[in-house]
Amino acid sequence: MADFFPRVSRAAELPQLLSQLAEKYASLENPAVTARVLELAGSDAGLAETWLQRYQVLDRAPPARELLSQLAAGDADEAPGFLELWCSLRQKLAPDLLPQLLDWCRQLAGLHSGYVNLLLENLEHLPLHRPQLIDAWLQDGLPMLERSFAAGAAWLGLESVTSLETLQKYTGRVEFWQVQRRFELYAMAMLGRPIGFDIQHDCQPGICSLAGGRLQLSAVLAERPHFAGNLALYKLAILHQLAVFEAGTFSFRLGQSADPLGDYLASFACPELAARLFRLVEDTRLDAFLVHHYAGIAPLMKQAEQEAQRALPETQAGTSQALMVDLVRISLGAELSGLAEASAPAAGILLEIKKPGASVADTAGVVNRLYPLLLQASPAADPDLKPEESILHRGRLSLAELARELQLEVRAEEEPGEDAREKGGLSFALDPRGAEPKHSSRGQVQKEQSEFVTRLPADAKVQESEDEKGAGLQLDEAQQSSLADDKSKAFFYAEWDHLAGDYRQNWCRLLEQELADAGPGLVRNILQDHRSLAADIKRQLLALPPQLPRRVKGRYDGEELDIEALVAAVCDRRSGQTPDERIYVEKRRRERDPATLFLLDMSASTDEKLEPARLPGAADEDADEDWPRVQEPAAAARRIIDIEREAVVLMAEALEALGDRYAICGFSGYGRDQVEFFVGKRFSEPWSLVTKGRLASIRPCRSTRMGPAIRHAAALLAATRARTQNLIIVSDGYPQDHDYGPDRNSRTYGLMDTARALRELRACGIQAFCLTVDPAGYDYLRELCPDRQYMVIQQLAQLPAELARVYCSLAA
Amino acid sequence: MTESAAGPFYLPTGNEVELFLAAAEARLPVLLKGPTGCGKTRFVEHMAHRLYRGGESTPARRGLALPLMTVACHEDLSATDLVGRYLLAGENTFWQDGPLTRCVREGAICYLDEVVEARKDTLVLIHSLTDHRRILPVEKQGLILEADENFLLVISYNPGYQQVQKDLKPSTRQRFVAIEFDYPNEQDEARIISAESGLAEDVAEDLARLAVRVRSLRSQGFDEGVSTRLLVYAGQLVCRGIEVRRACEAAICQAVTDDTDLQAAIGELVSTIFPPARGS
Repeated sequence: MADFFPRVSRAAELPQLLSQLAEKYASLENPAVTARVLELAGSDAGLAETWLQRYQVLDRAPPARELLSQLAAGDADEAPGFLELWCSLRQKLAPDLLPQLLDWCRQLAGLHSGYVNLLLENLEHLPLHRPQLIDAWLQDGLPMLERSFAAGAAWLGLESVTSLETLQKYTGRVEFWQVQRRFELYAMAMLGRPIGFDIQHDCQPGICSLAGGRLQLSAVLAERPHFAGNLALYKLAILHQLAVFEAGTFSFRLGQSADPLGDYLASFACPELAARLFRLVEDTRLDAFLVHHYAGIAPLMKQAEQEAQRALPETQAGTSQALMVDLVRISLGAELSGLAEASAPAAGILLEIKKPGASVADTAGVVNRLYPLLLQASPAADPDLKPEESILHRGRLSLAELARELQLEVRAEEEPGEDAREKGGLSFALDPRGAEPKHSSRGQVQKEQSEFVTRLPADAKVQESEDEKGAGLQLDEAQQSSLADDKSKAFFYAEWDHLAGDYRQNWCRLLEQELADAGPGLVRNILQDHRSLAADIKRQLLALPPQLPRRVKGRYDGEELDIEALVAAVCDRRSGQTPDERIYVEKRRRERDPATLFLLDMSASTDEKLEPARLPGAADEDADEDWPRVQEPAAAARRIIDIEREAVVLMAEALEALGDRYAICGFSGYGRDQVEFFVGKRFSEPWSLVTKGRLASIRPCRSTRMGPAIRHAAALLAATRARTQNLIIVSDGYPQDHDYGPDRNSRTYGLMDTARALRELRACGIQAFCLTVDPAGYDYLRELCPDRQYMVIQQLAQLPAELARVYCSLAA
Repeated sequence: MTESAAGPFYLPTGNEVELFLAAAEARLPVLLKGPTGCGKTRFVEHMAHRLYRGGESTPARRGLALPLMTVACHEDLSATDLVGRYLLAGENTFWQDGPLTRCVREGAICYLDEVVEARKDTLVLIHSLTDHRRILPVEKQGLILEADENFLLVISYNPGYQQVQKDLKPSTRQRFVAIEFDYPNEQDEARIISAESGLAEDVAEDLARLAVRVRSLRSQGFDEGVSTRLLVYAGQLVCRGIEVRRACEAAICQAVTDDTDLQAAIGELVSTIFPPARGS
């Protein structure tokens, strides 16, 4: 063990501490370890003791100790981490898994000492109950693990797309975000209108529940061994919640009561029992409704019910609990013959709710009849055991939610002449943010709701408080995500990691926000100051091929005969040769339909003031003589961003005259979760005072993370469905961000990701062009894109004119 | 096409038949608007049968061999294509009437399908046929043809997907009596599917139920929803022994969109409504 922490360079003289600890940990195999640990911990006795305690645990497992020695020999920094992780995992994991885990760690340590801790840190995401799958996943990852540490770390950290997909293939685990859009569309189709989805990361009972008019879904589902099985379970759970709308749960009424469900439950001596029964019976009705109405659901339902039956607890016969469990069994499709005799009458009553056409009023009828039977049974041994809550696909019917909806529905019905849905009711349930009830303020509803909650059974209160907590949490997240603008929308994009040779899934969070309107004055000034240049650019653009018919010769069919071809054909025929039949001229209209997005670099470096040599006017000797020089007010010290703005303003003005579609956006950001995408003008927006005002607020911000901005621009372009889609990027330097790659000082990662993003554009048929004002641009632009798709502008004043030329070449 | 003595099958969903008959009697041109596959072309075929072969026919109309000529319009469709052109025959040229000229001469119905796909300058050609003049100038022959009394011009277009870039000029649009079409309601659609494909009524009802749900997704990247025509195709596949989920996959999921999430969502709808094949 003398090699444990061998690279300790500093030696602390702490004889007293040493002797105390040496005595305390005398049982360790090698006392030299104690001394080493103390050396490493320096004067921190608490840290030394923690390590020694952990090492003591390890001392009883020689293979783990050997691994520690191996790690310490390779990279002493990994050893303390391993000690900590191993000791904590040792208590959590099944003992028979530890040898297997050690095996994996040894294999990984042979490749790189840093891999071991990465595996241990991510162990919770792996299917520990099926170690052979982890083994297969590690074997598949070997090429990445051997390639480089960065690639291996991305694999073990489940950051690489291939790693995630491989694991998913083996485990069948479904992460909801992967299938969210599919199910959002599915729910929209089933319901006939959109419904919001929230992903819940904490352990809520069931897979899906309805709260605040939105569906709350578990983030991950790995109940079944196959992907398709888990997907089917998600689907069933969502469908069960949607059935609340379709099967008419909200039509429950109780005479003239304004709070039908609250009053109904309050009419029982034990409202808690009545609420439990109501949930069970209504869930049973909803499941039966689905099976009756959707033939494709029956097999899924049967499988889910059988699984739920198997998970039901054993109970003491004759108690109310046993009766409840039997009712749950019947609800889950069990045969009457398999139940205790005492449960038969209650089970028979519950079966009635499964008949086709049963309504929510029938649910109440069944509850009325079951309630006395359960009261009569002897009390439960464990009152906290609620078997009906363990049914995964049913989620948990929130009675507080239901009661609130019913109150709104009843209130809406009482107001004649208006549509109940318009006034709150379902529309409120579907989109509580958009459809605020007119006749009851939110505060009023909450007040009434809280009154209702006081009357609800205890478990319902817990559910409600959890709902509220959840809502608060979402609000916090939403607030955090809106950085500069309350209206910013978040998008997630993958990023190409050239070190791993793979995409990092959902790696960047891009926030799209509109630039603030700073008034059209600045744009007006630009147009006035550059009247001549503006006119030239306009003239240049208007010279683009107009929308006139083009005569195409040599066609099989057409409006006119091509005399030359006709004569040749006749000659051929007379001379005994086969004539060419393409003797027509066709007039073909080629309509230009380009959509162009101008993407401006708004990084901090664009704040740079122009040096005198680079100032327009002063340095125009070398400029193209075809283009008039921009005359600038001598006093104005302009920045790169100002020239970028001028260029797009002049382009916009000219494009308006031409009628082509265009958008103007900018990007900046700081870090992968804060890529900012600023919208100056959308494709659908007119060149109005508002959009001009937005361009005025283009300003230097932070970093240049180009990849996600390009990917987002591509998405905006694709949505235009234009025949020709162009992206023109105007930047002042290479892509960089503080976490754009593992090494902050290396440009390679950012360049490779940007090059990849540009390649993705080309694959989608979008033409990209990079214009940079960075004189060093040649160095990296040739790595980013083919020769004809970039340009380095030596004289900044040329930017507007060059931009116009680039546009003409792309749009022609 | 299902055709019997009563002509091509068509189930009226409103008063479109009465409107068309009245317009035909008054020699008014008709514009049919509606999403793709909702039955516009079938309606014209049905009406042509009624006017030229069925109860509303006259001896003159019954004598016409081709009562309906359909032109599928496209952006390269020229006036020549509609009116006619000179063609070569041996050492000579001869004049070949275009479909519009032929209908004008013979008194048939000329149906210009998806008319906004044609260039606007081509469409100007039909203006003189759509007002009281009812004449067609044939420039290359130096003729002005007066339309036969039975001649009828019908055009159709789809206001859904074609409106971003294309629209009918007001001067063209305001020459027609417009009849609006949409997909039929669930019950009628089930009847149409059943009648057209020979599918059992319960499966046809499920297909119609599926269609209503898929059309809820119209705003999600495909403007049209699923057409009645595609539902009929699915029904025809099922009648020929294809398992119903597989038939819907081929005729609906894959046909309406290339968006994989949308395809998956529609696939989930299909597997919700239809049971799995036996043995799977």
